[in-house]
This record gives sequence, structure tokens and C-alpha cells, in this order.
Amino acid sequence: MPVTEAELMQQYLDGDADAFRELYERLAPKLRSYLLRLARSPAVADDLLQLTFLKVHKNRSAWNAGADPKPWIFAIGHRTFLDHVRKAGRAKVAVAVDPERTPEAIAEFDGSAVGAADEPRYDSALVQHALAALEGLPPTQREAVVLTKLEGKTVIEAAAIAGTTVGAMKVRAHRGYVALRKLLGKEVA
Amino acid sequence: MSARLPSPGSTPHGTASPDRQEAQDGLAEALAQARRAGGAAAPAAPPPIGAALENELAKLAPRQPRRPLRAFALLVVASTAYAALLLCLLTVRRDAGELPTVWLAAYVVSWLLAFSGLSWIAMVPPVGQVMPRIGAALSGAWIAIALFTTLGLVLARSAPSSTLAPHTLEDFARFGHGCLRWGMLTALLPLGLGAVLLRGVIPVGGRAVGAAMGAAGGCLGGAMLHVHCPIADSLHLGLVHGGVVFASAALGALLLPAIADR
Repeated sequence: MPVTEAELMQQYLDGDADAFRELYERLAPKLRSYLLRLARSPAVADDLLQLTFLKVHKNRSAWNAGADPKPWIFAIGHRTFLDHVRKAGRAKVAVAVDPERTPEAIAEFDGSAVGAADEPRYDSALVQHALAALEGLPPTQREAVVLTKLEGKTVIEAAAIAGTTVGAMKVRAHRGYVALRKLLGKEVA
Repeated sequence: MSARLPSPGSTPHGTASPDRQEAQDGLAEALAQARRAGGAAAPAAPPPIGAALENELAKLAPRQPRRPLRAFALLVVASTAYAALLLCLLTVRRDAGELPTVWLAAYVVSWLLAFSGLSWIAMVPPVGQVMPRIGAALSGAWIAIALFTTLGLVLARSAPSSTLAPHTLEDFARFGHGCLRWGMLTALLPLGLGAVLLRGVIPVGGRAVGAAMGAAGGCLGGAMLHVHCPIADSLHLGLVHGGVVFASAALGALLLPAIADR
């Protein structure tokens, strides 16, 4: 039976460094992907990832036995990114769409899905256009759309990661989606 | 870059224009495609664990996990003992024997239940979670503020020995200043202790949890004031005793994130 992240955290708190390494292997790819979408730069995303796990290590006693550590770790990553933006003096949150700067975007956003050959295929330019339009949204709406529409988080999970209420997250996601819809509607030829 | 949208299909939004319907359908599907493609593609391998983290792992020592129930119990016991100590330094209201016992007791119990309930929300996360309920924390703080302000305004009782403050601004401020000070002083320990016990737990949502913890302290302050303060004026009970909850919640929202962050 595979070991859960909660069990790995318990082993890590018991002093097992390999348990931490296993936890890192499991969570770092998705967390880095999330940070990359926010930070736009692979180098910055890598730094933020290391900072996040350093904070997890420093605050490991804040975890309570049996709890799923993933939302908490993602919230730490979210906060680490916000602190980075404040220090850098920029409030802009952008979504990485430039293939030259984020090679994985080519594989991620080309409009195809594994095992979905029979699905109607959409113009990948529409996908790229929608993602580019995200950059025109206010930061809170952008984060809400990224978390709920691109990361696939539920509203409850997204609210927990962003540190806001479920109601506020719903409003942000809805307003962001409506604004995106208007932006794309204007671009129809 | 112009985007080609898929040909229109029927939508539940019958009144929207066809172009808008296409944009709606196209956008929803485009974002879904992006999410599916992102999930199907293997995420890029993350960098190896950095040197700083490896250094920390090399000297890894066992640590105890947080125990939310124990932290909650410690907070309640310590805070209640502190409030009782403050009450010993002050006096029990001189009209206590003349006021309806049910009114006195029910009011104090209400304050204490609110203190316990808000402390629970702030300190004890849902089962299987690390972080407390942010929405419940914020709602709880506002409900406590509204509730005790309203109760004070509508449920004031007086007795022959009670103090009825004249309705001038000067007297209101004079009488209110002392209660506000003692109420906030009572709130400081639960707020400070709660912040320390929450260190590292709330990387986000600190202001909402701080408001709840502050409001909890304010409710404890309100309980202490209710046993001490002989002023029976409804404005005083509502705006000053209830105001302690508001002021403590605001202080908590400001201070807790700074103390609990590390």
C-alpha cells in the first residue's frame, strides 16, 4: 500500500530525511508548475520552490498528525510568491505562455490530451490567446482563474491556498472568467 | 494573434449573441483543454534539493507535531485564569445582588461561549487539515461584534445600585475609556498566546484568523466587564462592551500575522 503524504510527514518529523526527500519528489513537480505559472521565469520558480520547502522544514512542527500537508505546502508556496513580488516591488502576476521561456508550455498547452484523439480539436492559438488574455486581469482574479481553471483546484482548495474565503474566491473566479470572456469576445473576427 | 473560435452550438444562454456564445463555449473549452493538456503532460522534473535544505536535512532531529486540541485547551485555561486574576484586582459590580440572576449568568455564559467558539475556530482546523477555516474565522468575528453590540443595546438591565451614565458625549467617553482599557487588557493574553500557538500554521489568511482570535479575546474581556462594570446604560453596554470585541478583532487582524509568521 503506497505511503500517503501524511504518513511521510510523520516519518519526516520522526527524523527520517528520506521521507522528506520522497515528499519533495512527489510534491515539487506540481508545486513548481504552479509557481512557474505565477512567476513566468523558470529560475525564479526554482528559487521559490527551494524557499518554500525551506519554510516547510522550518515550520514542520506546525503540521498536525494525520493531516494532508498538500494544501498547507501549496499555501506556503503561494505566500512565498507573494512575498517575492512585494520585495521586487511588482504587483503583476503573469501566466507563462511564451514557449521560448517555458519549454514545458509547448507540451502543456497545445490543445491535445493523451488518449483523446477522437475529441474535437481546437485551435491551439485559442488556448494560447486565452492564456495571454489572463495577463490582462487583476492579480487576484488571475490567481483565482489559474487555481480553479488551470490547476483544477476546487473553490474550497483554491480559497485555502490563497488564504481567503470560499465566497470571495467564487467572486474572483467568476469576475475573472467574465472579464476573460469579454476580452476574447472582442477578438472574434 | 487572432484566435479561431469553434462553430456555434446550442447553449443554455439563449439570449446571448452567437458570437458571445461562441466566445463563452470557446473559452470554457480552451481553458479545459489547457488544464487537461497540462495534466497529461509530465511536469518538468524539479531541480534537486538545494544545498541549504540538504544542510538542514543532515542535522535533522525528531520534532513533535502540533496538537491543536491541546493548544486550544491551554489557551482557554490560561486566558480564563488571567481574566479571573484581573477581576480579583478590580471589583465585582456592586449591583450584582440586585440584578436578575438569570440575566447576569446567561450574559456571562454567552460571552464565554463566544470566546470558546471563536478560539476553537482559530486554533482547531477541520479534521485532516492543517490550516483553520478562514471563512468561518472571518464570519465568526463579525457575528460576535454584531451580536454583542446589539445585545448590549437592547438587553440592558438596571438596579437601584447601578450606575446610569448621563447621555452626554463627555460622560460617555469618560465612562467608556476605563472599560475599553480593561476589556482590551483582558483580550491581550488570549490574542498573544493564540498567535504564538499558531506560528507557522497560517501562511495565508492570517488577518481573518487574527480577527477571530482578537474577537475571542474581546469576548473574554466582555465577560470580565459584565461581572465588574456597574454601568447599566444601554449605549455603554452596546458600544463600549461590544466595542471591545470590535477593537480587539481589529488589533488581532493587525498583530497576529506578524507574530504567527516565521
